[in-house]
Amino acid sequence: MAETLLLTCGEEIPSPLLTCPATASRVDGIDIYALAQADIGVYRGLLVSAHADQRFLVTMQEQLEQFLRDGGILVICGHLTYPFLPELSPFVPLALRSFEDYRVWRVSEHPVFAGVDTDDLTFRKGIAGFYGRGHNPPPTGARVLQRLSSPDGPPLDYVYHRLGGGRVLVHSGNDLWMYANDGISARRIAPQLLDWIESPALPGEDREET
Amino acid sequence: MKPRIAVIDGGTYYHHRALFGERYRSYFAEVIYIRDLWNTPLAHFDAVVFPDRLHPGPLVAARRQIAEYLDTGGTVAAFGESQSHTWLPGLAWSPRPTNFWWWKTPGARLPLYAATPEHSLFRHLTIHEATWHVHGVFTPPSGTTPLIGLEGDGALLYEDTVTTPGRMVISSLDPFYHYGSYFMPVTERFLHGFLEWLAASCSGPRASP
Repeated sequence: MAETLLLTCGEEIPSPLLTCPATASRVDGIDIYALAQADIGVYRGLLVSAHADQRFLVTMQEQLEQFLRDGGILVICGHLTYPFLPELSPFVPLALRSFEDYRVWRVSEHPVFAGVDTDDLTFRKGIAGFYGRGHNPPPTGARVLQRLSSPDGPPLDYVYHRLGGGRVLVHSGNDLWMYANDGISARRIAPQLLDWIESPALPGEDREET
Repeated sequence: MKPRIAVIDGGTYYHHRALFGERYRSYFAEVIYIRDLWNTPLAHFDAVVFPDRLHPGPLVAARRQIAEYLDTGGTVAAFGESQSHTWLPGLAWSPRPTNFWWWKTPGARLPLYAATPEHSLFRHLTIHEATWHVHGVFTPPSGTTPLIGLEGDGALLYEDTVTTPGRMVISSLDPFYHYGSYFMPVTERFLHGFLEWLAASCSGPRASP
């Protein structure tokens, strides 16, 4: 049985996660508006797309927090506009001065991004800015994995252990799994994200480096 | 008198920036959350705008209400990637592969054209401001007015005053998503021109129910 659940958003073309051979059998999809009736507790991972109706997710906060208290992993993509967990903060757009500001910098290794060339994130078909155009400010204690613009730039991707249980991975841009069918190293993200969700947490994993 | 234009909010981050942000907020008399649409009266609006990338589920559920609004002479403007063919009448939709990197090739062009150049829309925007990429085309029914065409193919934007007693402005473009994502400045100019035109085109007396 799939251990990860993707909230679909009425897309005409299904998410590559649900069609790509490396991931299709490992992910179930349900319509986001069916979340209230879904038994999400049977999954280890819950994926929230950048296209999610965040106003609706605000109304689902208690269910999402229960999922995390039960030890689940929540993966959130997109610009946070309606923070649906109390520790989340709204998106801050990048003050763009040059295209170099879109460059992605890995500042902490993580299995989800193992073997992924940051140039494949900075540019897609030669175009900068697909991966991130600003940041969702992380809560205290988050481990920042990638930053924008410079090694000290805005925190683009981060992971944290939640007080009371569960882990949250936040990517402040387009869906992490959008590259699943691309012929570049970034295609590794989708299956590696599922590997990470399916594996037990190692001691100290995903905690802030001190 | 300023026309009363409503707009549907899909609850996403990009709808939030595009609809509630300062840039376009003044065009909209009311922002209707998509899950509230089914029980929101529409009759007093001159136009209802359905931005791109709305979840079609709540719109299919509100289909009868949208049809009644058109039957009483209302104006609907519906953008792309919302499966509008599933909740509006008479739409012939064909998806096309999206090449978003065409402009990186020297000398390349995206072959869009003004299909009815004398139409009032083109007093407010140029074809250049509608040119970013293609997700698909519509085949405008007979008697409707194609506005933005793809050479050798269908329309990216057309106006239909024949299928219903009202007016449907149908597009496959996705400017709200791109503006709302801080991605592609041309979409900001498109939205400005389009909304200026829509407001001007609604200033006449609305058909009575």
